[in-house]
Amino acid sequence: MTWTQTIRASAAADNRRRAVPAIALWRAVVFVGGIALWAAISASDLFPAGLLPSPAAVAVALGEQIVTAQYWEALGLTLWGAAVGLAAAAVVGIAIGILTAASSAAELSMRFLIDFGRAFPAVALIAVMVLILGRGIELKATLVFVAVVFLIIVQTQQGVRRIPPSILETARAFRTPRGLLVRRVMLPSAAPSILTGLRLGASVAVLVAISTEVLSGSAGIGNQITDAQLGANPPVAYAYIVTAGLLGFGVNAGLERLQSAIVRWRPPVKGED
Amino acid sequence: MNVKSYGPVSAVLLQVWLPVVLVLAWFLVSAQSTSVFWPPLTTILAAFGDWAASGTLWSSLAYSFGNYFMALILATVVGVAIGTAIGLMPRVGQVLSPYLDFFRTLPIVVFVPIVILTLGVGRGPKVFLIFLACVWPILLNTIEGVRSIQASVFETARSYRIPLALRIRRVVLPGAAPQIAIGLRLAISIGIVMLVVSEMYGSTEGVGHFILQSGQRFQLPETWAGTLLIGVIGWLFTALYMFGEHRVLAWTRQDAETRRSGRVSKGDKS
Repeated sequence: MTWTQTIRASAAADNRRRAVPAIALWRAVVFVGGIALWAAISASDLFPAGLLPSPAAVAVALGEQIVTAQYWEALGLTLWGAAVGLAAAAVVGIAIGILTAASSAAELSMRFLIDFGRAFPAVALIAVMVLILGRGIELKATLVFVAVVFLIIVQTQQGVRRIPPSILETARAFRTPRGLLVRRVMLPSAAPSILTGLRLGASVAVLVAISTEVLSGSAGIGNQITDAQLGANPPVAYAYIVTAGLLGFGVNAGLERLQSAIVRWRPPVKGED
Repeated sequence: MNVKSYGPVSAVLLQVWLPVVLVLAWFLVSAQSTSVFWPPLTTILAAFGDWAASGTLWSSLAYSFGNYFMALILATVVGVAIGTAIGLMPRVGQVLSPYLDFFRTLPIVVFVPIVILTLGVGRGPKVFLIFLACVWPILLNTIEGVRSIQASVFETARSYRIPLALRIRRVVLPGAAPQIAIGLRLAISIGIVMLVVSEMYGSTEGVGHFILQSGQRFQLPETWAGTLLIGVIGWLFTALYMFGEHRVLAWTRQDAETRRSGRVSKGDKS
């Protein structure tokens, strides 16, 4: 350590020690300030009525909604649609990802399709799919699948590509059968990258499920928002918006925890990036 | 992994055969299709031709992508400006981080019914919605990009007493550029999703409106044509952007040193 680094490190440590309680305090201040600003804006005539109800009204509406069966049913339907699509995308995506990572002929053949699929805005399919599939769970799951599968393919590919050659050569030297190689070598080694794909995919899945509900009127959180707003009840609409935000945040944070718990067994491989 | 590598010709052939086979298969299989839902590919293309011939295609594209680019530029300016400010003030960033995380994961589509039902189906609300969706990835990636600049770089800039404006222009923004570019790439695809959603929810013009209207009239070939058009545009934008980014940010990659010295001696030929 050079002396500049020493100074910098000790200054940083010093700052951190002093900063921790201050930051918690400031966060609380920002939270209260944000709510106060929201209340002030909604009380003023800056925006047309209905665009931004007061935070108190939203809190009351959320409190009223949260005890109804309808609320939990909407939440459940959204999550179920997202989960079914994500599960299907995981199965197909991991399989194609491993296949294309193991063979460069397969990778080159699939490259355009994967690029195209990743850039394809899946929600554009709603208009066609709603006519073909109706407004049920099939519609949501299909769109979630299309939106997520390419992400998982790419993450799996990258995970398998990063396996150090020495590991694969060892496995080959022992003449490990292909099925065993995939199950016991490739999947565990690529697990962190695949899990990242699933975590990102889960956020996208919730997003697409809600978008589908907003656009097609399929039952769930998105549909509740539209219904409440059409029924001139913005506080209820905002109650569901807060729910959607907490859902997205919760899914992401929960999966982050889960991910670090699952891959804890695995020491970080040097030069993995 | 030791995977086989291919020569340039076979690599191109390998990349091309599957898409071509799939399009041909679609063409052949759908040719006899009598299903209302899966019209023959030729019918879809004919519908697209009619759409282009009628002239509404061009006005729709101009309307939709006029909104899109306006929102994207606005989001870039606002996102980079606020992101740089927060990135330069680590304390502020630390305080705001849970809230930024919340808004990042909040699906912006939830605001579509609110904004469109209250503010109407005009241009403004759509630009606002696309902006709202695009600004987060740019903002968050800018913050991350500024943070990733090494402390020694800032210390050097400070020891030379480089004024703030110059420091931002010549040190901070170039340093954060690769990460900002990632944010922009995300924003480009998120923006197209938002464009489609906001127009399909309620509009009187635009590509999304065309798709919605054809769907409601049960004109499947037109609906398919619009959907495929959006897909191709989505892919094209990302591909063009990646190509541009690759060239513009050539200096940030590993061989930056050799490139730069080469540029000095042999002139700019990146």
